[in-house]
Amino acid sequence: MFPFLSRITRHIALDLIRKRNSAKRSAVFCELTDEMAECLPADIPGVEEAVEAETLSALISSFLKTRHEEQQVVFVRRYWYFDSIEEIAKLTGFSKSKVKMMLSRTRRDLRDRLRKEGYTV
Amino acid sequence: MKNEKWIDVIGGIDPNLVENAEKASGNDAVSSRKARKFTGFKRVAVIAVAVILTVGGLLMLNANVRAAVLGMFVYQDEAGYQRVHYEGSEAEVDIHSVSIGYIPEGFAAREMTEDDLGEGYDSRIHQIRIVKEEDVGLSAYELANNYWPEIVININRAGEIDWGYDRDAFEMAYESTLNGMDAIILHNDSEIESTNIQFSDDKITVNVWGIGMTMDEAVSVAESISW
Repeated sequence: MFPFLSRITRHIALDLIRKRNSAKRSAVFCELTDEMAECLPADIPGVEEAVEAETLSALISSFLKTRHEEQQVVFVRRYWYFDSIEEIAKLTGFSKSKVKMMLSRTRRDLRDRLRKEGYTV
Repeated sequence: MKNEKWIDVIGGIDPNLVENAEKASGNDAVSSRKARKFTGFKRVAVIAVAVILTVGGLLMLNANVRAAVLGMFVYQDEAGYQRVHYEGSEAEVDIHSVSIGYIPEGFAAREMTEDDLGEGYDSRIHQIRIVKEEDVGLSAYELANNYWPEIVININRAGEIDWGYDRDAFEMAYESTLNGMDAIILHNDSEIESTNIQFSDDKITVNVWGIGMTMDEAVSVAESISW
């Protein structure tokens, strides 16, 4: 039940944010998008986006499962829940700089993993 | 991924990861890290190891260094030397009336002049050398080259030890400045190990310690220090 409800909630939240910021991109999403641009591949022409997304999701999941639990939580809180650095630091008890460092390293390692899988990042 | 497609990609990750991250907003695992306390056996073990290393480290020092270190804290060390660490708080002397008083028998006080020091001369520095009476007439460099041990007093109100004739003395003086002392008096007379003078705007604090020195002798030295 949780996975279903969480996805619904997330989509509703995203729709609300997009509606509120229809004239320009939300600064939060710009920041997160820039971060994700470091580690996720560019579009692969000719491949259906849905398949691509699903494949990547599975890869990211398997990658995250190789990480320490703390790193998993920080990554998911940031990019799934859209928590700010401050919120994650408060949640975990880590310093903000440590949260940033963990995210940076996780993105770097994710990028390396995807490159090994043949993606161009 | 230059657009927001990543949102859908991340959105499709394993729900268990998402659920775990949601639970982390509670008290388990990650968030409990904040409340994690260093208690019980771990704490005792770390403290015990620290104590053992500290004591062991001190015991491993050579006798002179160990004596100097322990002299800061104990009155009498294992070798039986009477150690005095006199903070000088009872002998704060007027900044204008300090005088060099303690000169071991057979030695004399010789003030270094510009002729002696040349480029090393600094009007802020009063450099007094306690030398053997027979060597009073020697130049500074002759003194430096002639013998060790030697007694050097460098007093610098700027808080720096510019130089010392003897490398060991210089290094000790330099270390003392790092510890906040403005100057150091070094005696290699067996009675006295070292004296630190600390300047502030309105007082001079003198720390005196030495092998075999009594408290009265330490006070006497402290009260007689001058520049």
